[in-house]
Amino acid sequence: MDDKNKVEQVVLMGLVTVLGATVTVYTAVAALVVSAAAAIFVCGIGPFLRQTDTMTPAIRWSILIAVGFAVSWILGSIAPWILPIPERAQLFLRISGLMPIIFHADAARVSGTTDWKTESLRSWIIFGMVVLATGLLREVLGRGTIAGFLLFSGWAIPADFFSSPVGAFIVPATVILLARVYTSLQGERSGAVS
Amino acid sequence: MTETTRLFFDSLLIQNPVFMTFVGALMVTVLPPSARRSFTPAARYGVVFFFSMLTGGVFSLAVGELIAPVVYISVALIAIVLLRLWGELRRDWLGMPAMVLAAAPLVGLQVMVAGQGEFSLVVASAGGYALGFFAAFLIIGGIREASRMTEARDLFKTNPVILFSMALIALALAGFLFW
Repeated sequence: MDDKNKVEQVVLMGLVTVLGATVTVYTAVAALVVSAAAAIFVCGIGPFLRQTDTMTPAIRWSILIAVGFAVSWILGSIAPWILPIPERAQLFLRISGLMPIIFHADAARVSGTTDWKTESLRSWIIFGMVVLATGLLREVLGRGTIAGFLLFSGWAIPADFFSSPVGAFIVPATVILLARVYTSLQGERSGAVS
Repeated sequence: MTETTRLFFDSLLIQNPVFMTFVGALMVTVLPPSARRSFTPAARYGVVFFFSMLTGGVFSLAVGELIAPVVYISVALIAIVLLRLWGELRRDWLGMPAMVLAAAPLVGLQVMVAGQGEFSLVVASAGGYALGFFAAFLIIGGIREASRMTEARDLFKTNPVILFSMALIALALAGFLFW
């Protein structure tokens, strides 16, 4: 990776979820809940999988991947019964347990990062904000609704491309770019001060 | 155009697994090193993805919807082992093994292929998805390399450029309709 920007790292770790499961606010909420549940399960099982002769890192990671997938598949299949989720987004809910963000906390813990809990929590707060903001932006601009309710008066014409793949890519790209600009400005400011 | 041919082109272009259906987007965003050095990895990923889609698609049709997820994850993990034996996905990425990057596209593509429901259609869509992924990997490898070489400031290079490029390519692919 070229940049150590935290927001950029988090967006990339959850990229497929951010792209595929943010077409509406409800979908984004479901994606966040499913991802968080998968991450909690993975984090809970991780400490029991200590490295031994038989438990190689590859086997350990395979088990963690399978656990993350099982949780997201089950919850992703239940979600459409609870919330109105578009059919195309269901696949992304079901595979959201396979995204690197799910394994981020366990990887930080295993690597011996001292403040892994704070770091992981920070990453998850950023991820939650990005997913929810993307869902809100894409639904408001792409459909002219919030959580399915019309907000605008008759003259507002939704920009359809925001709910299409084009809009899905534009939002995280803009988030990463803004995060980089912000980090760069911060760097310039602190450089100017010192 | 037959149904099978149409499905092949649909899977290659308007349902491209990277630009239009996203499942391979992360892998293609972070893995390709450059245009020239991306060819061999892209070919390896394409071949392994194709056979995993075939295997997963056929077996999941045979076992039924309830057991299908077990098939998907088993095939995906075996495919990851094959890719690692072939020399791919061996490095770490953000503190975790790069094998994690391949899990979502491997499972997602199997699910999409299995949704076709018939063997000939499974083969056609698997071929289209594998070829579409291969092409996307090369294209993004080229874009990544070009964005690195540009004289623009570092913050305007690589990942945001790649994602904006993907948006533009998605816009172009949305114009391909074969019916």
